[in-house]
Amino acid sequence: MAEIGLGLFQFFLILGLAPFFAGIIHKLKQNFRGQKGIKITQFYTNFFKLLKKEAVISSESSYISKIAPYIILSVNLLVLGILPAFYRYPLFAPLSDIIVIVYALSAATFFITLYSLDQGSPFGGLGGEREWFLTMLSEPSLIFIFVALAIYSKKGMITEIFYYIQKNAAVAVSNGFHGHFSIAIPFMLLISLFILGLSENARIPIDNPETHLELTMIHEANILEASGKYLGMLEYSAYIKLSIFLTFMSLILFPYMAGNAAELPFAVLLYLFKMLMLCFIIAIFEVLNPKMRLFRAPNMLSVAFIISLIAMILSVRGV
Amino acid sequence: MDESAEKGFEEEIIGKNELRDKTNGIIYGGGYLLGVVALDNLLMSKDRFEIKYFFVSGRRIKSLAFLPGDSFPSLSDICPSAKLYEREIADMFGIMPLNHPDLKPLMLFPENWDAAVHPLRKDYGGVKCIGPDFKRYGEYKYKKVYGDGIFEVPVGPIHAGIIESGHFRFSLRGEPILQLEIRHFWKHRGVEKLCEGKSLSEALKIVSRISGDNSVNITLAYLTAAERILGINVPQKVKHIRVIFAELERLWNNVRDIGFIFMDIGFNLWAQNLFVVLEDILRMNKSVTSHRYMFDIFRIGGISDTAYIDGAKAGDIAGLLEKVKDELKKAEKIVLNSPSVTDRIELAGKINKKTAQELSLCGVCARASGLKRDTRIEIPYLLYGENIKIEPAAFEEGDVFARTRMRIKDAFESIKIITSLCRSLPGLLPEAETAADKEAADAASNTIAAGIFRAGGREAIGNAETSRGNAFFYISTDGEGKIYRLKYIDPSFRNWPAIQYGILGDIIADFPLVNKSMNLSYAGNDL
Repeated sequence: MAEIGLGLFQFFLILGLAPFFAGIIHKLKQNFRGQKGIKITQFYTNFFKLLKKEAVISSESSYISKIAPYIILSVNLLVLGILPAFYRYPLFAPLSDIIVIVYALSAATFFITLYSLDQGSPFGGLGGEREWFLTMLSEPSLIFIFVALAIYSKKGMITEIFYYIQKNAAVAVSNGFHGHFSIAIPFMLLISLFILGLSENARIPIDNPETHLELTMIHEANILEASGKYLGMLEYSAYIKLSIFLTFMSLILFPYMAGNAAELPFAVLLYLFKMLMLCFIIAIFEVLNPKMRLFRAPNMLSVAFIISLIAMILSVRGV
Repeated sequence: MDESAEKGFEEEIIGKNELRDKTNGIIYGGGYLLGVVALDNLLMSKDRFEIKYFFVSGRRIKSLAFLPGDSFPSLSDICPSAKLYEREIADMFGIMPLNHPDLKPLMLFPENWDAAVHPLRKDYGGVKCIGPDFKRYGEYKYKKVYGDGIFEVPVGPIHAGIIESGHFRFSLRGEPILQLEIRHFWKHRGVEKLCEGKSLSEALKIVSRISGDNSVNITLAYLTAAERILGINVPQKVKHIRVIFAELERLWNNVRDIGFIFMDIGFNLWAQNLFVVLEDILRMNKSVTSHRYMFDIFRIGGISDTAYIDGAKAGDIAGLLEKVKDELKKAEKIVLNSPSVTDRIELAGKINKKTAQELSLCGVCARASGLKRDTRIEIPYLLYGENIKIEPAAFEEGDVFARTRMRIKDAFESIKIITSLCRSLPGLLPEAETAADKEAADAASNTIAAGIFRAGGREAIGNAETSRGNAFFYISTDGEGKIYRLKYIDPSFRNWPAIQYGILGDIIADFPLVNKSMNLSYAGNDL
């Protein structure tokens, strides 16, 4: 019972903080550029405002437009429920297979592109095409990252994988670095995951989340026609997805999951610290880089692919 | 004073059938088309219509004038830049260009207007547009690309963000652009018709609002023409101050446009840096001229009182420009030395030299494509060609990179000119002479009041180099000194078609960047 309670706490904490993480990246970017910037709570305001607004749906669209936002949101919620962000037994722990995570995220992409095509707007088609172009290139790397982790720890469930790394890291730190623990593999996977995180979450240098130019959009073009509560749901899904990737990075960076209620306060604080640090790094990275050409994106994603491939080969050797 | 200096151009009266041969001669001689002006002489008791072709040929402006009757030969095969002017004349006067390849209405959309409506004719009584009533009189036919997997993306005329109205129709195969067709003229204001019957000083207020960000230089082109008609020679100090403001406007335009390039490649850090500088300049504009965009700072024959620069103000301007120069130097370093930026802008939106020649481009777009076209050098006005010597400069590549570097170069040049003029301003004319200046200006405006017009009216042209290129005015007056016909040609009108060619071979995601690198005006284009 306590497990479910703490699992629920973990689930709702991240769910509630998702717009905050997106907001803080935006705010930091604006402050770095010398702009006054939005309020950190701006994205909450936007979300609740959108819920109150009327949803306009194109008369050309089918039932897909009505159900896709729900599906996208629930798939993202499912992955969120699997994450052992700071507590070892997440809400949907039995589902936490690595394959489920990767393909749940793909399912969300599938439905968002289906949604974009259903609008009958030319930008939707462009956005959907670009989304798949990037997903096609980033999905293999994402699978490799999780397979590398699975081979490395010889576990198939995400909760067990990170617990294994946490345990062995602790052992390695206290006993010196010999035996079967490698720093290199998580480190390489972190770099790979960072690149994928930028690509999957429509960040600079792949996509520019702040642009108003329809022709250059990738993620935004998909939801250009959305309005009202549907837009709210789709935007919230994007915040959740960003939090999922940041949480994975934080877990690879330094896994510390509380096993019981007593350890929880420290785990939560550590988690928030890691997340804010990652937000800070992403903001710096985005401020210092221009957006690259669309067809340069494969170069960057292939770097991620090679790194995760090497990490997987190393983990097979068991270094 | 001989006739051509008085009017600003040399006119040759030709027969309608000689037009093509004469044009060929001028173009092969290295000249290019500056503009085409049609007139309705209904009230002047001559043959009804008259068309004048203006060419720049060897640092002079040559005009070919003829009486078309109700049709004239199209020049679109030997001089493709004439295409839009011919369509405009067909719309506005109902004079038909023969053998024109694409004679659909340009400004009077077939969805809204009867084909028999020609607003710039003198007997036009004014018809209210009933629209929007689609396909009332016909339909605008876009050029189609047929084939497997080819689709059309219509963009605009309503855009996201604060952008004026323009319609862009892309034919795509995946990401690469196969064809782009631009359809503009959604918000025609009828400026030319509005100015008719107004006095030259009344029209000044209208023309200074044609395109807000080039207000100063457009007004200068107008004033050059108006002062030629009135026979006014402006005092040296007025010329000085006018050049300072003209260059100041070119500077802030260029600073903003370089910022836009950074913004469009997602490098907002540097865009914001330049926008801070831009805001500083605009605030200084306000403190010097009492208007951020320097509206209404000139009057015929002089400078309005609010915009008068004394030694202290000149010092302020020169001081701020030091800071602007530093920031621009930093931006230039980023453009030239950071691979992520150069990779983004190199080879994007390439306009070949031949295309630029055929389309008679002007301004930054021409200079970035290897054509050394600069009104300040070719057709000098004010102090240009006298006290100020400008080295003709051009980049050969014709891409966004070249246009960005050209803008940076232009900005540095403006800073140099303003700084030197600000330094020489107090020495040139001491403060004590201000009263005498005013007296001279008053005398000039008195001659306006006295009326110096010959029967049958006068005509003159005026040019100025805006940040986008050459601004051209043709003005003719009737016997009472009221404007009989006013024609303004904006650099954007000449340069818009170039995007259709520059974008070929690029992907659609690059279009906003290419568009922004030229940063053409919608309002100036559509009068």
